[in-house]
Amino acid sequence: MARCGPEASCRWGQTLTFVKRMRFVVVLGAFTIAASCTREGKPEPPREAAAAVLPAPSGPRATATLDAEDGQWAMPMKSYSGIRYSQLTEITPANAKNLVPAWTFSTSVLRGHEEPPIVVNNTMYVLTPYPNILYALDLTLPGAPKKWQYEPKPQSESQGVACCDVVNRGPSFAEGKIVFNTLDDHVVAVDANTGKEVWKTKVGDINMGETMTMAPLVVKGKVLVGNSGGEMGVRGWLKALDLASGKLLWTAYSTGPDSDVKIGSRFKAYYPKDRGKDLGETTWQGEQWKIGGGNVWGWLTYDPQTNLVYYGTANPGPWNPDQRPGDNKWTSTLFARDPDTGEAVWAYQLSPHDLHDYDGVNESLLLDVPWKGQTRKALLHPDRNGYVYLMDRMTGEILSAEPFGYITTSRRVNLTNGSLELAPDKKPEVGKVVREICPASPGTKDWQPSSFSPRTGLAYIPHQNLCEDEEGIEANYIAGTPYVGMNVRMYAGPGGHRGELTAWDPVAGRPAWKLIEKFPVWSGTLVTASDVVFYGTMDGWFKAVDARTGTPLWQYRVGSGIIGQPVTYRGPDGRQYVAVMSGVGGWAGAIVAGGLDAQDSTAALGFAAAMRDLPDATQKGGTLYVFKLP
Amino acid sequence: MSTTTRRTSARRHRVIGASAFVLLSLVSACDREQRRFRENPPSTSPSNVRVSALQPGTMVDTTHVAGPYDNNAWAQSEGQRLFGWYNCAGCHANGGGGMGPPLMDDQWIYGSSPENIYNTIVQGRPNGMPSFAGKIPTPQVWMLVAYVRSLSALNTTGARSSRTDHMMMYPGSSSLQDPAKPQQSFRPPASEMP
Amino acid sequence: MLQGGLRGALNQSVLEASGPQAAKVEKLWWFAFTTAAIVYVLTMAALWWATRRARRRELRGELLDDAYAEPRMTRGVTWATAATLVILLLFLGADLLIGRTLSPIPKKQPLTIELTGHQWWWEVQYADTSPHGRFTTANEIHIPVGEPVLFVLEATDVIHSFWVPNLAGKKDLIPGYTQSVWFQADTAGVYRGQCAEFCGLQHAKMALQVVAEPRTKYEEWATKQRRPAENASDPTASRGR
Repeated sequence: MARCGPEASCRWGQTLTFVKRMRFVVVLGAFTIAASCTREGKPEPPREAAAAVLPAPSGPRATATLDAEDGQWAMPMKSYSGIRYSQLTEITPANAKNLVPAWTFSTSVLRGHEEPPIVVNNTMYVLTPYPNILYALDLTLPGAPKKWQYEPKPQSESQGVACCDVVNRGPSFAEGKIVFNTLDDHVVAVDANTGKEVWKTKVGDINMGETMTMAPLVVKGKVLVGNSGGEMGVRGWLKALDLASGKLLWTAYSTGPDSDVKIGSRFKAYYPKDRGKDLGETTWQGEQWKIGGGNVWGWLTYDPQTNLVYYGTANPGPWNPDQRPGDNKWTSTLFARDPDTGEAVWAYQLSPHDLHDYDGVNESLLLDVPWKGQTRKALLHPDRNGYVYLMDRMTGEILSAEPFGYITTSRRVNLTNGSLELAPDKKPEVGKVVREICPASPGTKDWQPSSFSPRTGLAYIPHQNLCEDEEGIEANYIAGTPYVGMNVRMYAGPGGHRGELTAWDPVAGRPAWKLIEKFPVWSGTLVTASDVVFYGTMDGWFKAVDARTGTPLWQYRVGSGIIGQPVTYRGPDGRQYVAVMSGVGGWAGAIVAGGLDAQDSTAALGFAAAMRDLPDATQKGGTLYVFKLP
Repeated sequence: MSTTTRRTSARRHRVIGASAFVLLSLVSACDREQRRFRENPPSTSPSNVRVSALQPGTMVDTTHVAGPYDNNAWAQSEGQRLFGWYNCAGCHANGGGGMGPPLMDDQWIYGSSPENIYNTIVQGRPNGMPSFAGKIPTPQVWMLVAYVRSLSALNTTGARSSRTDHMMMYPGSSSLQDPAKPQQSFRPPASEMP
Repeated sequence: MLQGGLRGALNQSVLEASGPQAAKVEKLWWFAFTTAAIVYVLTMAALWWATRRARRRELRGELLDDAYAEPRMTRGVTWATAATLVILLLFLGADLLIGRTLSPIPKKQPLTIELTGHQWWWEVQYADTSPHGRFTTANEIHIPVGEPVLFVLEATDVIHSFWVPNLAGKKDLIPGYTQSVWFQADTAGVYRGQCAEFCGLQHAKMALQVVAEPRTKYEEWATKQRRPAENASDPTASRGR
């Protein structure tokens, strides 16, 4: 175009000509921008727990079989049903505010104390995290002095292959012996009176990345134990040892051919997706099932009437799902097994081809529920994937599966075919960051065990409220080193709080009441027949609340955060005592127990990022606290 | 400008340009940029490498080995790659720790000098550090040493490997909220995320 | 391997097509070459003629002035433009006629191979309906002769490009992006392919082999691959496992 003179009309004319010539480009540009704006599809609507509604006082209520109350606490769950319910009634909602410390005991260990003290024959047994010292305290004498201590002296190298702090979830008492696991894969039986070792059996290898942290369950003279190591490429198993001699009786693997998994003629999966031959092999590529995970580090419950042991298996390895195509059976699976032979009677895979480390190891409380006019023998399983499963414990049929937290990773559990319907946009991939994965890898609830009261008909579920971002990276398998393949960064879920205590109504499938906590409630709960619930927080408050309404009754600040399991017992003087370990740690408290640096958001598999303020709120510790009424 | 001044100015420019070129070529020969593929760095640490600062009697000089790659950018970047490759990141995360202690803070249980870190990797340590002797080739161990030292800024920053595109550090926190006033959970906008 | 009508890998060449996709590429190449050759010859001939005519005119002593040259130039420009347009249209027609190598694969449930490019090797995963039927090899692909094979292309670090000249054209492997390409080998043999996008220091050595063999031999090989690795017989071998 020729240069314009000072005349405005010339300029204007030139501009118009320019625009006319460029109109094609302008229209094309507008289309391109509009098209790119609509690139992202609509996100999946998330799931949330239903609003809390107190159950009607005379409505249908879940119940449980109760043993006679002997005032003891002989195993971490107190009874085979797992409900952690005490029939002692001295402490009531009215007088709980008067609780005072009776005495304390230092364990001399400063790592995470997830274990409960157990009380048998007026002796209290305290098992510490690594180095797994077992103390026996004489409750008949003032101040409960130490009777003896037993030191299994586990290999110090085992600390290097324990994923989530060097915890131990407790010993069990049976037939005059205390049995427990050590971090370096030994099962030990110690005489309960003298503290002398009766037998010590090695069942795993730390050089393969195996450790043991779970509390054994003793059933009919057999000690049932399982291994840890889902983050180390360890193949999971459940083993039975003879209580008298420590000899290995049977091993039921969690992956591999049916003969290894002990799936035989008695096995009947309720849903078609869990039926087939050698699924523990064919749902994996090649031989990946040999390093596939499925560890048994959580809770075992037992029904003496049906003679079935119920437990769940842990996550598949590595966390990066693209490296292990297929459903990856039998990881993240609930099993019902016959403890005499180990054979599986039914199984249900909760999270096939798990994408977010949703282990299936949480407790299955054995309840009887009125369901559609019948009474069903059921189990209540609050899972990592965010749903509370109410299942028929004879067959594995799901009666209901309702969310108890905020879920973006799945739409629902399909009750017709038992499948978990995943949200398609929450799949982690190598090189891609997927955000707002809720619940985060510790799940809506991790190992911390719930309790149940047959009086209120409510289960008391301690849990967390966390979301995360995930990025897949390629994992290399080197035996004895981590096999994960994921960068994770966690943060608080909706609401900004990280912990909750939910009182869950199993029949209605909804919360009855909820308490909000700043930090994840990583301790177990305890409920008594006088309707008092006890639990502890990670910043060191041991709390008592009313079981019916959740009204806070009492709290006491202990020396270090509480991640252990509270117990209650009748002392030699006939009084009721409540005891709990304090000593923060575990996966949630690793930032304190391990002295980690939260500048790196991926520290502690992403948990450190969500717990940056924990070091300000509490320190390491290792003390047993016992409370009573004055 | 007069012709003389223009000629002088042009000549000055040429001199400056030439000297810059010479200086640049000197600089580019410096240690930071060299890639040495066939090397034999020291494979065994000298025998009197000490992990404790206590010495009975008179103090004797401790042998220090300069890490061969402390100033080399390529080696530290390789160290970053090997850190994930050999699963160091599985226990130590990206410096923050987890199963193992953090490497980006200023607490060194077994010493922070290059020969101490070399020995830690090769010999292992009693509380859970595996021994990688015979599993990682010696030049790669020294690359890892250089990278580990750079995590807590013990090496000159000029040769540090740059931040990768991985989701790693995020200084802001989404969980430091006043519990008395719970708000909608803060999720940083995607555009701000590393 | 080199007997019975099979080819060796030494014959890696776009001009030795062994499959329909490569054949199309080869045809296009020859078309372009022929057209360019003709145009080149004609241009050279015109140039030679012009120099000859100028020389002749010079010898005759005629003057060449601007006024005389212009009308001829206009005609020349018109003719050149017209010829260019015609050739371009011819190319367009040839391209459409010869067909694109991106046409949908003419087989339901074809053999699918997931090819992932790494620095500097090829990860080859054979897909299967059941995860247990999947297996992985490196740098070596076996395919049955005469059947279309679908390749799903991904990369983990930088852009690579999959190129087996005897069988197909190039297709990039781009990180974060999944592409697919399919081709078919009509003759049994061993075909060498290589990475065709600069991807780092060892790019030149990032080669691969495609072995096309009869269906039965392919099935034998695949079954053998699915079996677990044999136990190492001597200490050196077991250290390498």
